[in-house]
Amino acid sequence: MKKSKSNLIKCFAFLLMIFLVPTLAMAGEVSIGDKISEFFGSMGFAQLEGNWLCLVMILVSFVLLYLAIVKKFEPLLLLPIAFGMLLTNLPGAGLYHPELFAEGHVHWKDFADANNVGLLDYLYLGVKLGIYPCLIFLGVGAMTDFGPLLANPKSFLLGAAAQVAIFATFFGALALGFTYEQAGSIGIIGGADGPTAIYITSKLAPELLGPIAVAAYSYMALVPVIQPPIMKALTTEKERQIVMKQLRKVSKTEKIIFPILVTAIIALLLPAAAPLVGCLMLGNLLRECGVTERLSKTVQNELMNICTIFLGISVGATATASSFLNPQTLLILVLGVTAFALGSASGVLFAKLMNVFSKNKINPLIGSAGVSAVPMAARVSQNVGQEANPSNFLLMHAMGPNVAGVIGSTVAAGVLLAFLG
Amino acid sequence: MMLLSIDWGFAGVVCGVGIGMTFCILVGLICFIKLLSWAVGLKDKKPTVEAKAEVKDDKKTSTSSHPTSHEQAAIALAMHLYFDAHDEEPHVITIEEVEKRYSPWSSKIYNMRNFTK
Repeated sequence: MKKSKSNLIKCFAFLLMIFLVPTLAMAGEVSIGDKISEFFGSMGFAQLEGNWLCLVMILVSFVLLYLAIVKKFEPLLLLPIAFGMLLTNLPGAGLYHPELFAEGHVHWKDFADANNVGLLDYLYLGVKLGIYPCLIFLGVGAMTDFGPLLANPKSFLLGAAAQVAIFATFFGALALGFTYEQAGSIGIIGGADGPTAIYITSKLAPELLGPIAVAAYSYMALVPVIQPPIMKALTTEKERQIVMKQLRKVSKTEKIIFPILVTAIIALLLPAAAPLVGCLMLGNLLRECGVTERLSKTVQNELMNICTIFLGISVGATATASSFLNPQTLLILVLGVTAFALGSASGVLFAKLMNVFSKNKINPLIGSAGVSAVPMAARVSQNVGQEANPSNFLLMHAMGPNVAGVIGSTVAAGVLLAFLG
Repeated sequence: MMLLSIDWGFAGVVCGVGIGMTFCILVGLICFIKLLSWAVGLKDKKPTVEAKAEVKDDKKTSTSSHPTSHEQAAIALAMHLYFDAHDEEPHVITIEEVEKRYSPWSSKIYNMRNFTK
């Protein structure tokens, strides 16, 4: 007992020596008090002083997390975006440095100093260089069946009509004081195509990436809320009851040739749209050719999911207090919802116009699916159609304009890039 | 003043060309799809040598003493209806019982995270 007691005292004395001797030796050079105050000063809480806007942004990120988790608003993207927003607004964390991407360029020289570069800076390079949106389009292509579009090629017109909203919003944004590049980026929200919106904004107006991404994905999640009132207001009960002719069977040869030739045609006419269309159609070819099943599965699942995480976090990271908390964000949100509504309305109205000239009547409700929120917009057409006529199945008919909208929005994006890029 | 500083002519050109290009490209794609489906349909309709031989064989068999497969099916159905014959079912349901081997690696109750509801 005595022996163990003396051992304990020896141990204690030894530890005391280890800690005390160096401290006493350095006492003249460094003050412990300074070190402790420096440590407390490096804490995020200490840096909150005079930086209360960060707190507001953290609250905004909490609201978005709530919408993603509880309300299930596009959770696959909104959740990483909200978390990226949270990470970038934590004072002192230093995960994202907007100055590395100031004036729309990547300042590669500053990347050499690893101490001043955060994790999200590296991840953001994928957005800035346009890598993630294109890789996501690869997955979108692999998940898309162009069969309904090939069976009813007239659907392309509805997909094109819905893109009118992009250019109408472009005008509206210009009138509200945005620059051409910013107006183009805001207009593309009307295409209801997240990766395209991010791709265009990262090229034209990277300073608006945060608000535009949040607006685009929030409104895409709100398609079932925004579209039905517009669809009902613009159609009569009789029009909503129209039953469409069953679609023809599309051969495998057509499905294989389609992506190859579409890529060639669009890339030759509009080279600026080549990265997006090329990736979309490559993904589709992997799916349809039947000999690359492993690659098709990979781009549909693993690659797409990895890119979605990186894209979400890095886009959320751009939503710093200075770039997000300003009147411009509010205007973008208003213009975004207007663009969405206009896109839906122009699709429905164009479908009605087509009925004037066409023998085989089409249900105007499928026109609203021309905005490319795949497959949500097509589902909304199906649901509204079934409210009027429960035995009517519009889903496959609406998928045609829906996937045509994806191609239409990439073409519109290509035009904007060619003029404003 | 702000509105006057904008070059609306350029904005109009962007919109006009944008809408025009979108419609033209997509209308072009409609024509292309129609052409493609026509070409593929033409290829499918063209009878191959094997198909032609099959048709010939079918004609031959229909003129010989043996009935064709369609005729055989029709005769079988007529006989079935005439004799009112039905298959007798044993009414015994046989479901193979699957032995489940639970182990800590496959059992759900050993999950890493237990959610309390």
